[in-house]
Amino acid sequence: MTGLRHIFLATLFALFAAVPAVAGGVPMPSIPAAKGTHCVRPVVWMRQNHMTLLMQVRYEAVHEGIRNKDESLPGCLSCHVSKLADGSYPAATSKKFFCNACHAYAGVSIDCFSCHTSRPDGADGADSTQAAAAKAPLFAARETRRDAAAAQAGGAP
Amino acid sequence: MSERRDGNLQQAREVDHGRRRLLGAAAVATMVLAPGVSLVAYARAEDEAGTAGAKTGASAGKRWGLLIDTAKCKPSCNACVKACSDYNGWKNEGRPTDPQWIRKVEVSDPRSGLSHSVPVMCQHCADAPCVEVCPTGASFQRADGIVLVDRHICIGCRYCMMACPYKARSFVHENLTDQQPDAPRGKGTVEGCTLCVPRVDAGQQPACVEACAREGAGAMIFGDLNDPASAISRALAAYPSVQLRADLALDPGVHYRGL
Repeated sequence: MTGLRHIFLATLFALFAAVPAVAGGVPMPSIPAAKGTHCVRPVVWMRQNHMTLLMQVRYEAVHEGIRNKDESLPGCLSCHVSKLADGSYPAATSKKFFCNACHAYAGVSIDCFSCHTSRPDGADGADSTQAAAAKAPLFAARETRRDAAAAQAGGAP
Repeated sequence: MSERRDGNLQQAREVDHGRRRLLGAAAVATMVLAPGVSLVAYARAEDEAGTAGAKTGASAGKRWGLLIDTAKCKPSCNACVKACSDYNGWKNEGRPTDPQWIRKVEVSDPRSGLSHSVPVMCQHCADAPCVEVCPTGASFQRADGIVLVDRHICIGCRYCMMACPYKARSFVHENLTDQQPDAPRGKGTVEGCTLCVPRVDAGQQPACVEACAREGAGAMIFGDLNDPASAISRALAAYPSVQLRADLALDPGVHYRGL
Protein backbone atom coordinates (compact mmCIF):
# COMPACT_ATOMS: atom_id res chain seq x y z
CA MET A 1 0.00 0.00 0.00
CA THR A 2 2.83 2.36 0.84
CA GLY A 3 4.32 1.58 -2.55
CA LEU A 4 1.08 2.44 -4.32
CA ARG A 5 0.82 5.63 -2.37
CA HIS A 6 4.36 6.52 -3.39
CA ILE A 7 3.57 5.87 -7.02
CA PHE A 8 0.48 8.02 -6.75
CA LEU A 9 2.40 10.84 -5.10
CA ALA A 10 5.23 10.59 -7.58
CA THR A 11 2.84 10.65 -10.52
CA LEU A 12 1.04 13.59 -9.04
CA PHE A 13 4.34 15.33 -8.59
CA ALA A 14 5.41 14.55 -12.15
CA LEU A 15 2.18 16.10 -13.45
CA PHE A 16 2.76 19.16 -11.28
CA ALA A 17 6.37 19.39 -12.35
CA ALA A 18 5.27 19.72 -15.97
CA VAL A 19 3.44 22.91 -15.05
CA PRO A 20 5.56 26.06 -15.31
CA ALA A 21 6.55 27.43 -11.90
CA VAL A 22 4.56 30.62 -12.43
CA ALA A 23 1.26 29.03 -13.45
CA GLY A 24 -1.47 29.88 -11.00
CA GLY A 25 1.13 31.09 -8.54
CA VAL A 26 1.72 27.54 -7.30
CA PRO A 27 4.98 27.44 -5.35
CA MET A 28 7.35 24.81 -6.72
CA PRO A 29 10.25 23.11 -4.94
CA SER A 30 13.66 24.43 -5.82
CA ILE A 31 15.73 21.37 -6.70
CA PRO A 32 19.52 21.67 -6.53
CA ALA A 33 21.18 20.86 -9.87
CA ALA A 34 23.10 17.59 -10.21
CA LYS A 35 26.74 17.53 -11.18
CA GLY A 36 26.80 14.60 -13.58
CA THR A 37 25.53 14.48 -17.14
CA HIS A 38 23.24 11.45 -16.85
CA CYS A 39 21.31 9.78 -14.09
CA VAL A 40 21.49 6.00 -13.66
CA ARG A 41 17.99 5.83 -15.20
CA PRO A 42 16.07 8.35 -17.32
CA VAL A 43 15.11 11.35 -15.21
CA VAL A 44 11.34 11.03 -15.71
CA TRP A 45 11.48 7.37 -14.72
CA MET A 46 13.56 8.22 -11.65
CA ARG A 47 11.17 10.95 -10.60
CA GLN A 48 8.41 8.38 -10.38
CA ASN A 49 10.21 5.18 -9.42
CA HIS A 50 13.36 6.08 -7.50
CA MET A 51 11.91 4.63 -4.30
CA THR A 52 11.37 1.18 -5.78
CA LEU A 53 14.82 1.25 -7.34
CA LEU A 54 16.33 2.20 -3.98
CA MET A 55 14.50 -0.66 -2.25
CA GLN A 56 15.67 -3.12 -4.88
CA VAL A 57 19.28 -1.95 -4.75
CA ARG A 58 19.19 -1.96 -0.97
CA TYR A 59 18.04 -5.58 -0.82
CA GLU A 60 20.60 -6.71 -3.37
CA ALA A 61 23.47 -4.93 -1.62
CA VAL A 62 22.70 -6.02 1.93
CA HIS A 63 21.51 -9.58 1.36
CA GLU A 64 23.10 -10.65 -1.89
CA GLY A 65 26.28 -8.59 -1.86
CA ILE A 66 25.59 -7.10 -5.29
CA ARG A 67 27.09 -3.65 -5.10
CA ASN A 68 26.93 -1.31 -8.05
CA LYS A 69 28.79 1.80 -6.98
CA ASP A 70 26.73 4.13 -9.20
CA GLU A 71 23.43 2.91 -7.84
CA SER A 72 24.59 3.00 -4.22
CA LEU A 73 23.50 5.83 -1.96
CA PRO A 74 27.00 7.40 -1.98
CA GLY A 75 26.82 7.06 -5.79
CA CYS A 76 23.61 9.12 -5.84
CA LEU A 77 25.05 11.68 -3.44
CA SER A 78 28.24 12.14 -5.46
CA CYS A 79 26.18 13.75 -8.23
CA HIS A 80 23.25 15.16 -6.33
CA VAL A 81 24.85 16.78 -3.29
CA SER A 82 27.13 19.79 -3.69
CA LYS A 83 28.74 22.09 -1.21
CA LEU A 84 26.87 25.26 -0.35
CA ALA A 85 28.33 28.72 -0.88
CA ASP A 86 29.91 28.59 2.58
CA GLY A 87 31.79 25.38 1.74
CA SER A 88 29.70 23.07 3.92
CA TYR A 89 27.38 20.28 2.78
CA PRO A 90 23.65 20.85 3.29
CA ALA A 91 22.08 18.90 6.15
CA ALA A 92 19.74 16.09 5.09
CA THR A 93 16.90 17.92 6.81
CA SER A 94 17.53 21.14 4.88
CA LYS A 95 15.51 22.08 1.81
CA LYS A 96 18.82 22.69 0.05
CA PHE A 97 19.48 18.94 0.24
CA PHE A 98 18.49 17.25 -3.03
CA CYS A 99 16.16 14.59 -1.60
CA ASN A 100 14.56 16.84 0.94
CA ALA A 101 13.86 19.63 -1.55
CA CYS A 102 11.02 17.52 -2.96
CA HIS A 103 10.24 15.42 0.06
CA ALA A 104 9.60 18.46 2.24
CA TYR A 105 7.41 19.86 -0.55
CA ALA A 106 5.44 16.62 -0.91
CA GLY A 107 5.22 16.04 2.85
CA VAL A 108 6.81 12.59 2.57
CA SER A 109 9.40 12.03 5.26
CA ILE A 110 12.43 9.80 4.70
CA ASP A 111 14.68 8.37 7.37
CA CYS A 112 17.55 7.15 5.17
CA PHE A 113 19.92 9.75 6.53
CA SER A 114 19.48 8.98 10.20
CA CYS A 115 21.80 6.02 9.51
CA HIS A 116 23.42 6.76 6.13
CA THR A 117 25.75 9.68 5.74
CA SER A 118 24.22 12.53 3.75
CA ARG A 119 27.59 13.69 2.47
CA PRO A 120 28.95 12.39 -0.81
CA ASP A 121 31.56 9.64 -0.82
CA GLY A 122 34.97 11.13 -0.16
CA ALA A 123 33.47 13.95 1.84
CA ASP A 124 36.62 14.06 3.94
CA GLY A 125 38.00 16.61 1.51
CA ALA A 126 37.99 14.81 -1.83
CA ASP A 127 36.19 16.59 -4.64
CA SER A 128 33.01 14.76 -5.55
CA THR A 129 32.82 16.74 -8.83
CA GLN A 130 35.72 14.60 -9.97
CA ALA A 131 33.83 11.46 -9.02
CA ALA A 132 30.86 12.65 -11.08
CA ALA A 133 33.09 13.53 -14.05
CA ALA A 134 34.76 10.12 -13.88
CA LYS A 135 31.39 8.49 -14.42
CA ALA A 136 30.64 10.36 -17.67
CA PRO A 137 32.18 7.75 -20.03
CA LEU A 138 30.35 4.97 -18.20
CA PHE A 139 27.03 6.73 -18.60
CA ALA A 140 27.78 7.40 -22.28
CA ALA A 141 28.41 3.68 -22.81
CA ARG A 142 25.17 2.94 -21.04
CA GLU A 143 23.28 5.32 -23.32
CA THR A 144 24.70 3.51 -26.33
CA ARG A 145 23.59 0.15 -24.94
CA ARG A 146 20.17 1.56 -24.17
CA ASP A 147 19.78 2.92 -27.70
CA ALA A 148 20.89 -0.40 -29.16
CA ALA A 149 18.44 -2.30 -26.97
CA ALA A 150 15.63 0.10 -27.88
CA ALA A 151 16.40 -0.24 -31.58
CA GLN A 152 16.39 -4.01 -31.24
CA ALA A 153 13.08 -3.91 -29.38
CA GLY A 154 11.43 -2.33 -32.40
CA GLY A 155 12.46 1.27 -32.79
CA ALA A 156 11.26 3.04 -29.70
CA PRO A 157 11.90 6.79 -30.16
CA MET B 1 15.98 -24.94 13.99
CA SER B 2 17.29 -24.93 10.45
CA GLU B 3 13.76 -25.13 9.11
CA ARG B 4 13.08 -21.87 10.79
CA ARG B 5 16.11 -20.27 9.21
CA ASP B 6 15.04 -21.57 5.81
CA GLY B 7 11.70 -19.99 6.53
CA ASN B 8 13.37 -16.65 7.11
CA LEU B 9 15.32 -16.94 3.90
CA GLN B 10 12.25 -17.84 1.97
CA GLN B 11 10.41 -14.93 3.47
CA ALA B 12 13.22 -12.61 2.44
CA ARG B 13 13.01 -13.94 -1.13
CA GLU B 14 9.28 -13.42 -1.17
CA VAL B 15 9.75 -9.83 -0.10
CA ASP B 16 12.25 -9.44 -2.90
CA HIS B 17 9.83 -10.83 -5.45
CA GLY B 18 7.22 -8.48 -4.11
CA ARG B 19 9.52 -5.59 -4.81
CA ARG B 20 10.23 -6.83 -8.28
CA ARG B 21 6.51 -7.03 -8.94
CA LEU B 22 6.13 -3.56 -7.56
CA LEU B 23 8.84 -2.31 -9.89
CA GLY B 24 6.89 -3.83 -12.75
CA ALA B 25 3.70 -2.19 -11.54
CA ALA B 26 5.49 1.14 -11.28
CA ALA B 27 6.68 0.84 -14.87
CA VAL B 28 3.13 0.14 -16.02
CA ALA B 29 1.95 3.17 -14.07
CA THR B 30 4.48 5.20 -16.00
CA MET B 31 3.04 3.95 -19.25
CA VAL B 32 -0.55 4.74 -18.37
CA LEU B 33 -0.30 7.96 -16.42
CA ALA B 34 2.53 9.95 -17.91
CA PRO B 35 4.04 10.71 -21.28
CA GLY B 36 7.26 8.94 -22.19
CA VAL B 37 6.17 5.37 -22.88
CA SER B 38 9.52 4.56 -24.43
CA LEU B 39 11.23 5.26 -21.14
CA VAL B 40 9.75 2.07 -19.74
CA ALA B 41 11.47 0.13 -22.47
CA TYR B 42 14.69 1.96 -21.63
CA ALA B 43 14.41 1.03 -17.98
CA ARG B 44 13.79 -2.64 -18.79
CA ALA B 45 16.65 -2.76 -21.27
CA GLU B 46 18.86 -1.15 -18.65
CA ASP B 47 17.98 -3.83 -16.15
CA GLU B 48 18.80 -6.59 -18.59
CA ALA B 49 21.87 -5.21 -20.30
CA GLY B 50 23.16 -2.27 -18.32
CA THR B 51 24.00 -3.76 -14.97
CA ALA B 52 24.46 -7.38 -16.02
CA GLY B 53 28.22 -7.12 -15.60
CA ALA B 54 27.89 -5.93 -12.02
CA LYS B 55 25.51 -8.68 -10.86
CA THR B 56 27.97 -10.78 -8.96
CA GLY B 57 27.26 -11.02 -5.29
CA ALA B 58 27.95 -13.23 -2.33
CA SER B 59 28.77 -16.70 -3.61
CA ALA B 60 27.38 -19.78 -1.89
CA GLY B 61 30.57 -21.65 -2.79
CA LYS B 62 32.61 -19.48 -0.45
CA ARG B 63 32.86 -19.36 3.33
CA TRP B 64 34.82 -16.38 4.56
CA GLY B 65 36.80 -16.87 7.73
CA LEU B 66 39.67 -15.60 9.84
CA LEU B 67 42.64 -17.27 11.46
CA ILE B 68 44.23 -15.39 14.35
CA ASP B 69 47.65 -16.41 15.64
CA THR B 70 47.61 -15.55 19.34
CA ALA B 71 51.36 -16.18 19.65
CA LYS B 72 52.00 -13.26 17.31
CA CYS B 73 49.31 -10.95 18.66
CA LYS B 74 50.84 -8.54 21.19
CA PRO B 75 48.95 -7.22 24.23
CA SER B 76 50.27 -3.71 23.57
CA CYS B 77 48.95 -3.60 19.99
CA ASN B 78 45.51 -2.21 19.22
CA ALA B 79 45.86 -1.77 15.45
CA CYS B 80 42.94 -4.03 14.48
CA VAL B 81 40.54 -2.32 16.88
CA LYS B 82 41.57 1.14 15.73
CA ALA B 83 41.32 0.20 12.03
CA CYS B 84 37.82 -1.22 12.57
CA SER B 85 36.75 1.84 14.51
CA ASP B 86 38.10 4.19 11.83
CA TYR B 87 36.66 2.32 8.87
CA ASN B 88 33.25 1.70 10.40
CA GLY B 89 33.03 4.96 12.31
CA TRP B 90 32.29 3.67 15.82
CA LYS B 91 33.88 4.98 18.99
CA ASN B 92 34.30 3.20 22.29
CA GLU B 93 34.90 5.70 25.05
CA GLY B 94 34.77 3.13 27.81
CA ARG B 95 31.11 3.49 28.75
CA PRO B 96 29.40 0.13 29.34
CA THR B 97 27.00 0.61 26.43
CA ASP B 98 29.58 1.82 23.90
CA PRO B 99 29.91 -0.22 20.70
CA GLN B 100 32.63 -2.83 20.42
CA TRP B 101 32.66 -4.48 17.02
CA ILE B 102 36.07 -5.89 17.91
CA ARG B 103 37.86 -5.91 21.26
CA LYS B 104 41.11 -7.19 22.69
CA VAL B 105 40.59 -9.79 25.42
CA GLU B 106 43.39 -10.83 27.76
CA VAL B 107 43.26 -14.50 28.70
CA SER B 108 45.66 -16.24 31.05
CA ASP B 109 46.18 -19.63 32.58
CA PRO B 110 46.13 -19.06 36.38
CA ARG B 111 48.39 -22.03 37.02
CA SER B 112 51.21 -21.38 34.59
CA GLY B 113 50.66 -17.64 34.19
CA LEU B 114 50.80 -18.00 30.41
CA SER B 115 48.74 -15.20 28.91
CA HIS B 116 47.47 -14.27 25.48
CA SER B 117 45.92 -11.19 24.01
CA VAL B 118 43.10 -12.16 21.68
CA PRO B 119 41.03 -10.00 19.34
CA VAL B 120 37.39 -11.10 19.57
CA MET B 121 34.70 -10.04 17.13
CA CYS B 122 31.61 -11.62 15.56
CA GLN B 123 32.68 -15.21 14.93
CA HIS B 124 30.43 -15.55 11.85
CA CYS B 125 29.06 -18.92 13.00
CA ALA B 126 27.69 -21.41 10.50
CA ASP B 127 24.84 -22.08 12.95
CA ALA B 128 24.52 -18.59 14.32
CA PRO B 129 22.26 -18.32 17.40
CA CYS B 130 21.66 -14.63 16.62
CA VAL B 131 20.04 -15.68 13.34
CA GLU B 132 17.96 -18.34 15.08
CA VAL B 133 16.46 -15.95 17.63
CA CYS B 134 15.84 -12.91 15.43
CA PRO B 135 12.07 -12.33 15.26
CA THR B 136 12.14 -10.20 12.11
CA GLY B 137 14.76 -11.86 9.93
CA ALA B 138 17.05 -8.85 10.30
CA SER B 139 19.85 -11.01 11.65
CA PHE B 140 20.83 -13.18 8.73
CA GLN B 141 23.65 -15.06 7.10
CA ARG B 142 24.81 -14.30 3.59
CA ALA B 143 25.43 -17.11 1.12
CA ASP B 144 29.17 -16.78 1.76
CA GLY B 145 28.80 -17.23 5.53
CA ILE B 146 29.04 -13.61 6.69
CA VAL B 147 26.55 -12.95 9.48
CA LEU B 148 24.97 -9.49 9.28
CA VAL B 149 22.18 -7.35 10.66
CA ASP B 150 19.88 -5.82 8.07
CA ARG B 151 19.25 -2.65 10.00
CA HIS B 152 16.39 -1.70 7.70
CA ILE B 153 14.48 -4.59 9.30
CA CYS B 154 16.01 -4.59 12.81
CA ILE B 155 13.56 -3.47 15.49
CA GLY B 156 16.19 -3.26 18.20
CA CYS B 157 14.82 -6.04 20.43
CA ARG B 158 18.37 -7.20 21.22
CA TYR B 159 17.49 -10.91 21.39
CA CYS B 160 20.57 -11.52 19.24
CA MET B 161 22.79 -9.77 21.77
CA MET B 162 21.47 -12.11 24.45
CA ALA B 163 21.88 -15.17 22.24
CA CYS B 164 25.46 -14.48 21.15
CA PRO B 165 27.94 -16.38 23.35
CA TYR B 166 30.78 -14.11 22.18
CA LYS B 167 29.27 -10.75 23.23
CA ALA B 168 29.92 -9.66 19.69
CA ARG B 169 27.03 -7.32 19.10
CA SER B 170 26.28 -3.82 20.33
CA PHE B 171 23.21 -1.63 20.38
CA VAL B 172 23.15 1.99 19.27
CA HIS B 173 21.55 4.01 22.05
CA GLU B 174 21.91 7.54 20.74
CA ASN B 175 21.47 9.54 17.57
CA LEU B 176 24.56 9.49 15.41
CA THR B 177 25.96 11.87 12.83
CA ASP B 178 28.83 11.73 10.34
CA GLN B 179 28.68 8.00 9.66
CA GLN B 180 31.13 6.49 7.22
CA PRO B 181 29.80 6.05 3.65
CA ASP B 182 30.39 2.28 3.76
CA ALA B 183 29.10 1.79 7.28
CA PRO B 184 25.64 3.20 7.93
CA ARG B 185 24.79 3.05 11.64
CA GLY B 186 21.77 4.33 13.47
CA LYS B 187 19.96 4.58 16.77
CA GLY B 188 17.71 1.73 17.78
CA THR B 189 19.45 -1.02 15.85
CA VAL B 190 21.94 -3.74 16.70
CA GLU B 191 25.30 -3.85 15.01
CA GLY B 192 28.45 -5.90 14.95
CA CYS B 193 31.45 -6.96 12.89
CA THR B 194 30.51 -7.23 9.21
CA LEU B 195 33.90 -8.59 8.15
CA CYS B 196 34.01 -5.22 6.34
CA VAL B 197 31.55 -6.61 3.82
CA PRO B 198 31.79 -3.75 1.29
CA ARG B 199 35.55 -4.30 1.17
CA VAL B 200 35.16 -8.07 0.85
CA ASP B 201 32.67 -7.60 -2.00
CA ALA B 202 35.24 -5.36 -3.69
CA GLY B 203 37.90 -8.08 -3.39
CA GLN B 204 39.73 -6.45 -0.49
CA GLN B 205 40.50 -7.71 3.00
CA PRO B 206 38.79 -6.55 6.18
CA ALA B 207 40.27 -3.38 7.69
CA CYS B 208 41.51 -5.21 10.82
CA VAL B 209 43.45 -7.80 8.80
CA GLU B 210 45.05 -5.12 6.66
CA ALA B 211 46.00 -3.05 9.74
CA CYS B 212 47.42 -6.13 11.50
CA ALA B 213 49.68 -6.82 8.53
CA ARG B 214 50.67 -3.17 8.20
CA GLU B 215 51.09 -1.99 11.78
CA GLY B 216 50.74 -5.12 13.89
CA ALA B 217 52.42 -8.50 13.84
CA GLY B 218 50.61 -10.00 10.85
CA ALA B 219 48.68 -12.28 13.18
CA MET B 220 45.48 -12.40 11.11
CA ILE B 221 44.74 -14.32 7.92
CA PHE B 222 41.51 -13.73 6.02
CA GLY B 223 40.25 -16.02 3.30
CA ASP B 224 37.90 -18.61 1.91
CA LEU B 225 37.60 -21.65 4.20
CA ASN B 226 36.02 -23.65 1.38
CA ASP B 227 38.98 -23.18 -0.94
CA PRO B 228 41.70 -25.73 -0.05
CA ALA B 229 44.29 -23.63 -1.87
CA SER B 230 43.62 -20.41 0.08
CA ALA B 231 46.23 -19.19 2.57
CA ILE B 232 43.82 -19.66 5.47
CA SER B 233 42.93 -23.25 4.52
CA ARG B 234 46.58 -24.18 4.10
CA ALA B 235 47.44 -22.60 7.47
CA LEU B 236 44.55 -24.44 9.14
CA ALA B 237 45.72 -27.72 7.61
CA ALA B 238 49.34 -27.19 8.67
CA TYR B 239 48.94 -26.38 12.39
CA PRO B 240 46.30 -27.00 15.04
CA SER B 241 43.80 -24.27 15.77
CA VAL B 242 40.67 -23.91 17.85
CA GLN B 243 37.32 -22.18 17.61
CA LEU B 244 36.13 -20.29 20.69
CA ARG B 245 33.58 -22.27 22.68
CA ALA B 246 33.79 -25.12 20.19
CA ASP B 247 31.64 -27.12 22.65
CA LEU B 248 28.63 -25.11 21.51
CA ALA B 249 29.06 -26.59 18.01
CA LEU B 250 28.21 -23.33 16.25
CA ASP B 251 31.10 -23.80 13.79
CA PRO B 252 32.47 -20.24 13.92
CA GLY B 253 34.29 -18.93 10.86
CA VAL B 254 36.96 -17.38 13.10
CA HIS B 255 39.74 -19.71 14.19
CA TYR B 256 42.48 -19.13 16.76
CA ARG B 257 45.91 -20.66 16.85
CA GLY B 258 47.90 -21.01 20.08
CA LEU B 259 45.07 -20.91 22.61
